Amino acid sequence: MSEISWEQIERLLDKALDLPEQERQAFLDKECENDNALKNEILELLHSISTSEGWLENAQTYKQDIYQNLSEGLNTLSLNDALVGSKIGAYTIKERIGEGGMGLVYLAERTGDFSRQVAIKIIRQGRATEENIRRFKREQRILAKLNHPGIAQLYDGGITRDGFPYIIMEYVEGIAITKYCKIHNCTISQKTGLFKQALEAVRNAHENLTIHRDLKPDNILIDTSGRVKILDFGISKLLEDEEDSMITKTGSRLLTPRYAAPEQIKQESITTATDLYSLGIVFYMLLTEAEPIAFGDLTQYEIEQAIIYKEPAKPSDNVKNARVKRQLKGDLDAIILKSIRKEPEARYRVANEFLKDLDNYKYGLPVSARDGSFRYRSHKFIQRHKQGLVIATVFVGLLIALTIFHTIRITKEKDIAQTETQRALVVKNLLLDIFKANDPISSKGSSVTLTDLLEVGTQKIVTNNIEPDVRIELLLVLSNIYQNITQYDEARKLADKSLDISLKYFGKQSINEAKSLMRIGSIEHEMGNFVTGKNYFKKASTIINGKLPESNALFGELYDNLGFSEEKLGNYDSSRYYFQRSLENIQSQPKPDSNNYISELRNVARAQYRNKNPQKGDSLLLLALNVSKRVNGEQDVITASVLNDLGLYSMTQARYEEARSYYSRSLAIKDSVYGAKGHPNYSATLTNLGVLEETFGNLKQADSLYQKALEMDTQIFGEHHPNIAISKGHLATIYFKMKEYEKSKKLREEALALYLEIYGPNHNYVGTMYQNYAQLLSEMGDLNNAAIYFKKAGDIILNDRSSSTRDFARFNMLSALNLYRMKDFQNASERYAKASTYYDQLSHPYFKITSAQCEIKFGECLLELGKKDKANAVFSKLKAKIDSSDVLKNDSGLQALFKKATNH
Amino acid sequence: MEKSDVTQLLVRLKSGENKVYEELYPLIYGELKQLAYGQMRGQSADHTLSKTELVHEAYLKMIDQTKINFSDKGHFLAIASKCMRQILIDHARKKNAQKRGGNQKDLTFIDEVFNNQQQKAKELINIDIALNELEELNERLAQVVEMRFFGEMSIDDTADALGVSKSTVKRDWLKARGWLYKELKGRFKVE
Repeated sequence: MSEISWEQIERLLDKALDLPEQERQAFLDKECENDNALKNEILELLHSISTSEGWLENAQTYKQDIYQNLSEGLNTLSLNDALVGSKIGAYTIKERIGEGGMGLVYLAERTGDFSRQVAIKIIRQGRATEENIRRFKREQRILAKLNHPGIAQLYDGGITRDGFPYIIMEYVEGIAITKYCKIHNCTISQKTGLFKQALEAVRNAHENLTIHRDLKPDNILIDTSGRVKILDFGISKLLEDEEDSMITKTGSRLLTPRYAAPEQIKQESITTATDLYSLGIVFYMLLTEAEPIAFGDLTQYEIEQAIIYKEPAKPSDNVKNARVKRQLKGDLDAIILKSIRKEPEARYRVANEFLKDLDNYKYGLPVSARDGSFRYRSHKFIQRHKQGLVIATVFVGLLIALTIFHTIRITKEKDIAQTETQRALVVKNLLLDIFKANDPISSKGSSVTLTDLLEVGTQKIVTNNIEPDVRIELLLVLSNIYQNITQYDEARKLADKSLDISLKYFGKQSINEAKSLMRIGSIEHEMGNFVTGKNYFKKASTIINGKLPESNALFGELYDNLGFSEEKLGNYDSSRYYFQRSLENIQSQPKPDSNNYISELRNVARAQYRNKNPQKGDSLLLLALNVSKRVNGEQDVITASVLNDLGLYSMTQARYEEARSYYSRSLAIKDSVYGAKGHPNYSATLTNLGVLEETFGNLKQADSLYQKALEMDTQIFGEHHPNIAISKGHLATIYFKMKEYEKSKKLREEALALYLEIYGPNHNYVGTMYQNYAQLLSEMGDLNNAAIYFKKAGDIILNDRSSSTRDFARFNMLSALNLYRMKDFQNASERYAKASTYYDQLSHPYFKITSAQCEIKFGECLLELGKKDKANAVFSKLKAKIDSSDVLKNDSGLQALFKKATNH
Repeated sequence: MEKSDVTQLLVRLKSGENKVYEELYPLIYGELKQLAYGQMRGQSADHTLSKTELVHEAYLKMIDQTKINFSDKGHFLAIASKCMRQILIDHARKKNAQKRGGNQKDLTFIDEVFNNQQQKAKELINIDIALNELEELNERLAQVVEMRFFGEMSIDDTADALGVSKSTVKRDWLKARGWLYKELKGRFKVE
C-alpha cells in the first residue's frame, strides 16, 4: 500500500462514489488497468463504506458509558494529582490514600497551632445542584453530630470549586477487620470481641437514626490501638437525591454486592436490619474465612439472584478446621444465619439483639437465634455441665441470675414493685426453662445427675450467705423446678423453708410470705388438694391486695392459680373470671412472658369451651398454637400441650379425625421428649386418645392407652390422685363395654372412692361417677341400687351449670333404661322423650341415631302403658324422619330396632 | 471565567492568535467535562441522553451569543470536538489500563458496569489510533470524524467550521468511515 499514494486512491474513490453503484466496477477496471493492488484497495474501501452504513453515526452508544465513567469518577488526569498540594478549607492535601466506589480519599493536614491530619473524601457521586448541595450540607451537619469512639468522626463538608461534594473526616490509620484478624491470627473469641465493638458502634449510629448502607470489611477498620473504627457512616444517605429517583437507583449501584442485603438488591426500603445483614456477612467471613454464598465467576445478574434467593451455607459447614467447625456448630451457626436471613423481619431487628445473643453465647445461655425448645435448652444445660464448670451448673445459673438481678435492681431502683417483677422473671425464666423438662436428660441416663445438680444448688442456697429476699426467690424457683419434675415432697420442703425465711426476716404479711404461700398452694393443688390449695391462694391474695398495684405480675400469677382452683372445684364461672383477669394482667406487662401468655390463652380457651363458646375457645387455642410454634418451636412440649387441647376440644365438638391428628402430633412430641418415664402431660394425652379410640369402638387400643396412662400416673403421683381415678374410670368403662362387669365394677368403686375423697360429694365428676356406677349396676341386674345411684347422679348432673346437653341426654337415656327395666314405664317414657330431644340437638350423626333409638324406646314405653295411638303417632313420625335421613336409613341397628318395636 | 471572556478569546482566535487556542482549549475542556459529568446525572431512566450534544451545550454555556458571528460557532465547536475526543479517549485508556492492572478488590456494581464498558473503551482507543493514521493521509477526513463523531456536530456546523460545502463534508464522512472500518474490522464487532 505504501507504494500507492492516498491522493491517488482518494481521487479514484471520489470518482467511483460519484457513479451509480453498478458502473463502479467497470470504471475501476478501466482506470486501474493493471494495478490490481490499487483497484482492490479502492474496491475494499467501497465495500467498507457500504457495509459500515450507520456505523459511528450514533456516537452516543460509545459515549454513554464514558459519560458514566466521568460522572462516577472524575477523570484522574485532572483531579487525581492536581489536587495534591491544593487546599480545601484549612487543610492542605498531602497525598491520595485511597479510591473507593464513592470517590477519592486524600490525606490532608492542617498545620500551625492546631495541626492535625484528616482524611478528605471527594465524592464523585451526586449532582451538584443547588438543592442537592443544600441537602448535602444539612445531612452533613447531622452526621457531624454522630460521636462515638467506634465511628470515624465527620468534621466538615462542602463542595469543591469543580462542584464535587467533599467531606473532611477523622483520619484513621488502620486495616480492614478481616485483614487484621488474619494477620494477628485471631481466635473466634477475639474476632467476636472485635465484631461486638463494630456492633456497638453501629448501634450508636442507629440510635441516632443513621444507617450506614454499605458496611463491609474495608469500612470496618482496626486502628493502631486495636480498636474498631467504622468509616463512611451515613455517606450514602448524604448522597441520596430526593428529586431524582435515578440517582437513588445509581446510588444502589454503589453497593458492594457481597455485603448487600436482598432488600438493597430489590431496591426495597432500607432499615437498620439492612446494616445488620451486612455485618452478619462480615461476621460470617470473619469466622469462616469463606463467603456465605460463593459468587465465584457468577455474572452480576446471577449474583443478584443468589443474594435474593440462595440460602447461605451453614458457617460450620464452610470451614475445614475441625476445631473451628465444632465451635461454630450450634449457637454461632444460628446467630450468624439469623443475622443474614433474606427477610429483614426475620433478622435481628436492632443491634442490641445481636449483641445480646453474642453475650448469651459467651455465657453459655440460650440464644434467641435458636428456637427456644426444651431440647435445645436442656442440651444447653447438659453441655454447660459437660464442659466441666467448676461448680454445679445450677449454681452457675443462679450466679448469673443474681448478677443480672443486681444489675436490674440498680437500674430500676425507683420502682420497687417493678424490680420485684423483673427479678422474678429473670431468675425464674433462667432456671425454669432449663429444668422444666427433665426427661431429655433422664433419657440420656443422667437423671441422677440432674437430681445431684438440684441438690447441690439447694445446698448452696441454704448454706451460702445470700440476701434473704434473693434466697427466698431462689428457693421458690427450685421448689417450682422440683414440682415440674414431680418431686412434690422436695418442692414442698423448699417452699416451707422459703415461708420460714420470709416470716423470720420480713415479718407477717410480707410480699415474700405471699409468694411462698402461693408456691405452697400450687404444690397442694397439683397434689390434688384443691381446697387446701385455694386456701393458700386466698391467704396470699389478702396479703398482696392493696400492697401491690393490680398491674403487678404477681396478680397475674395469683389469678392464674385461683382460676385453676376454682376450675378444679367446679366453679367454672369464677374460674373463667380469674383466668381472664390473669390473661389481661399478662398482656399488660411491658415484657410479657410468652409461655405464661400461651398457658393463660389455654386456660381462657378451656373456660370458654366450658362456657359453651367453642368458637372463642378454638380461636384462642389456635392463637396459642401459633405463638408457641413461633416462640418454642414445632417440637416443643408446650406446643404439644396446645395440640393436646386442640385435640380435646375438637373431640368435644365431634370433629374426631381432627382430634386424632392433633393427639398424634402431640404424642409424637411428648414421646420424644419425655420417653418411657413419662409425665402427667404425656399421660393426659394418652388418656384423651384412649377416649377417642373408645368412642370409635376400638376398645383394645383404648384399653392399652388407658393402662399406659394409669401406670405412668401411678408412678408419678402414687395411688391417691385424680388422674388415677380418671384412668380407672376409663378402664372401667372399657370393661363395661367388653361386658366384663365384675372387673368393671371393682374399678368403678375404686374410682368413685377417689373422686369422693378428692372432690367432695357434690362435684360434677362425682355425678358422672355415680351415673357410670349406676349404669353398670343396672346392666348387672341390681336395679334398685342402680336407681339409688341414678338419683344421686341426677341430683348433681341436672343441677350443675357446667353440664352439657350431652350430659343431660346421657343421664336421661341411661336412667330411663333402668326405669324401663324396673317397669316404671311412665317415668321411663318421660326420660326417653327428653333424651331423644337432647340428642337431637347435637349435630354429630352418632347422636342423631341415638336420638332415634330413644324415640323408639319412648314409643315402646307408650305401648307398655297401653297408649297405642300415641305410640303409633310417634312411630310414623319417626318413620318419616328415618326415611328422610341417609344416616338413619343406613343404620341397620336402628332399622332392626325400629322393626322390632313396630311389630307389636 | 466569565462568558464574555471566553467569547473574547474565541473572537481573538478567529483573528489568528495562536496563543489564544492554548488558553481556550483547557477552558472548553474543563467545561465539557463538567457537562459530561452532568450529562450522566441528567440522564433519564431509559438511558437516552438529552437531545443537546455536549459541545453545543458547552457553546451555549460559554459563549455570549450576541457578541459572536455565526461562523465563530464552528470554530468553537471544532475545538470542543477535539476536547471531547481527548476526554473520551483519556478516559477509555484509563479504564483499559485499570483493568489490566487489576488490583484485587471486592467488585462493586460500578466495577461491573466498567467491565461491560471494556469493549467500548477498546473500540474508542482503536478508533483514536486509526484516526491518527488517517490524519497522516488526509487531515480533513480525520477532522470530519472528530467533529461528526466525537463532537456530534451537524453537517452544517462541520461545513462551517471547515469552510467547505456540505456535500464535501458528506463525502469526507463516507470516505473516512469506510477507511476506518476497513482498518478496524476484525478487531472488534461493529454494531
